[in-house]
Amino acid sequence: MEAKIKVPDRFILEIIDIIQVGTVVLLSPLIAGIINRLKAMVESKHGPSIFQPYYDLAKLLKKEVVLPKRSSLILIMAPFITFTAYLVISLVVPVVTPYPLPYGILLDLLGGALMFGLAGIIGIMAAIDAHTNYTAMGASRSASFTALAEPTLITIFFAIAIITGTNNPYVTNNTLAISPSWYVSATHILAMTAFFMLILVETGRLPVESSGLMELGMLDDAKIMEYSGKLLALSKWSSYMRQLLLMAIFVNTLLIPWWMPSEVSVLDALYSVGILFLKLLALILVVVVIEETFAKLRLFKILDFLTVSFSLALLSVLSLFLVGKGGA
Amino acid sequence: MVFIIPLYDDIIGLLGISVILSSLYMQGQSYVDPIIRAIAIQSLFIAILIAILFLQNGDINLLYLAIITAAMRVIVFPKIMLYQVRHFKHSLREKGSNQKTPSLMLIGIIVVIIGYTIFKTVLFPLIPDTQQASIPFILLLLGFLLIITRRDTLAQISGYIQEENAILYIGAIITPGIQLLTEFAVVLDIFGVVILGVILSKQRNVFRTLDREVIEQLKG
Repeated sequence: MEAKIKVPDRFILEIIDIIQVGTVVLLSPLIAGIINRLKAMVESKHGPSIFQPYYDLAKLLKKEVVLPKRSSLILIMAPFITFTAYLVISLVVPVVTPYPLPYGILLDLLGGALMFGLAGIIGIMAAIDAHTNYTAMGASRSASFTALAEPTLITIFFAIAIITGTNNPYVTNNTLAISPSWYVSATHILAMTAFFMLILVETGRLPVESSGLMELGMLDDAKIMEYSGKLLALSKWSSYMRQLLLMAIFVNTLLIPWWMPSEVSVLDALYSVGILFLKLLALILVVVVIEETFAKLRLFKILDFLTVSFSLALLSVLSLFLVGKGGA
Repeated sequence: MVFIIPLYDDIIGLLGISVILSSLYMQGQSYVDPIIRAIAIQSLFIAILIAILFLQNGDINLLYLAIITAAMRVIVFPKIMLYQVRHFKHSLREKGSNQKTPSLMLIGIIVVIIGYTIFKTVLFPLIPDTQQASIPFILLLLGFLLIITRRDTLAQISGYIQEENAILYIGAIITPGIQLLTEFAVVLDIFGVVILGVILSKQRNVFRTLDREVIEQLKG
C-alpha cells in the first residue's frame, strides 16, 4: 500500500508560525487579565477588566525610562533578551499545531527548559546590576528556589523521554493522544502532577506566591523593581508570555493532548487557537480554585513544596520500573 | 462472572503506585492525624485493587476479602485510632527529631530504590512473572521506616498496619485462587490491633500518655 504524503506548502507553514507566535504574544496578557478578574469574582469583588493588562502595557509603553545611576548595559538589555527568548520558545513548542513547524527542529523539551533557564538567569543578572537591596534580595531568593526547581524539571523530562523515547514535545503529544494506556499510566500522571506544581512555582501562584510587593515573600516582582516605562512593560509582557507558554506546554503535551486539528491549513490553525483558549480556561479555573483555597506558604516552606514535587518526579521515573511499561 | 476491564494493567499499576505514594505521604507528616487518615486511604486503594482483581478473575473469595478490607482497615481501625487521638488529648505532633519531615520523604524514595533493587536481585527469580510484587515488598520496608522514625505509638501502629497491608497486597497479587494466606493476614491484623488497643488503653490509664518513653522506665 502506498502512502500518500502531501508535502505542505512552506508558505502556509510560515503563516501558521506567525499565528502561533502571535497567539503567544497577544493572548498572554488576556490570560493574566482573566486570572485576576476570576480571582476578584471569587472574592465577591468586581475586579479589574480582563483587558487591564493591555491597558497597563499601553500606558507603560508611553512612559519614559528612568534607570539607577550605577546600573550598566545589562539592566537595559535584559528585558529584550528575555522577551526574545520567549519568542523563540513560542516557535518550537506545540501551542496551536500537533505537528512541528519549520523551526521546531531548533529545540527539544530540554532545549526549551534551557531557554527558560537563560531568561531566568538574565533576569537575575539584571536584578543584581540594579544595585539596590530589594532587587538583590529577589535575585538571591529566586536563584535558590530555581536551583531546586530545575532538577525537578529535568527529572520530569526524563519521565517524558522514557514514555516516548524522545524529548520532542510533538512526539509526546502524539503518543499520549493516541495511547490511553500511557495516559493513565502512573509515570504520566505523576510527571503531570509534578509539572503542575512547578507551574504554580514558576508563575508565582499561591500557595507559593512569589509575585506581588509583599516584602516578606516577594520574589519575582522584587527583581523588576528598578524598571520603569518601556523596559517595565517588556518585563511584564515577558512574564505574561512565560505564564502562557508554560500553561500551553502543560495542557497541550501532558494534560489534554487531544483535539488539535492535524490538517496543515491556516483555518485549522486559527480554529486551534480557539481550542487552546478553552483548554487554558479550564486550567485557569483549576489554578483559581487552588489560589482561593490554599493559604500562602512561608518562604522557607517553599523548599518543602519543591521537595514534594521533586519526589513526585522521581517516583514517576521509578514507577516505570515498579509497575512496568504501559501498553502501546 | 468475569469482566473485561479496559486498561487493566495500567489501572493496577496506578493503584500500586498510589499505595506507595500514600506511604511516602505518611513519611512526610509530622502530625498523627494525617498519618491515620493516610493509612485508611492506602487500605482503600488496596480494597479497590482486590475488587478489580475479583472483577477480572471472578473468584468470589476476592470479593469477600475486598469487603473485609474495606470494613476493617478503612473504617474500623482508623476510627479506633482517631478516637484515641481525640479523647485522650494525645499530643498531635511528634516531639524531637522529626521536624524535618520532607527529608524523611526523600529517604522514603531512597528506600523505594533500595527495596526495588533487593527485590529484583533476590526475590524476583523466586516469584516469576509478577513485576508488581515489588510494590508490597517496598511497602513493607516503608512500614519499617515509619516505625523506626517515629516515637509515637499511634504512628507506629500505622506502620504496623502498613506492613499488614503489604502482606495482604502480595497475597492478593501472587496467589490467585489461594486467599488463605491473605485471610490469615486479616485475622492476624485484627488480633494485632485488638491486642495493641488493649495495651494502649492500659497504658493510657496507667501513665496518662502514649509516649513510648514511659514504658522504658519499666526496664529492669
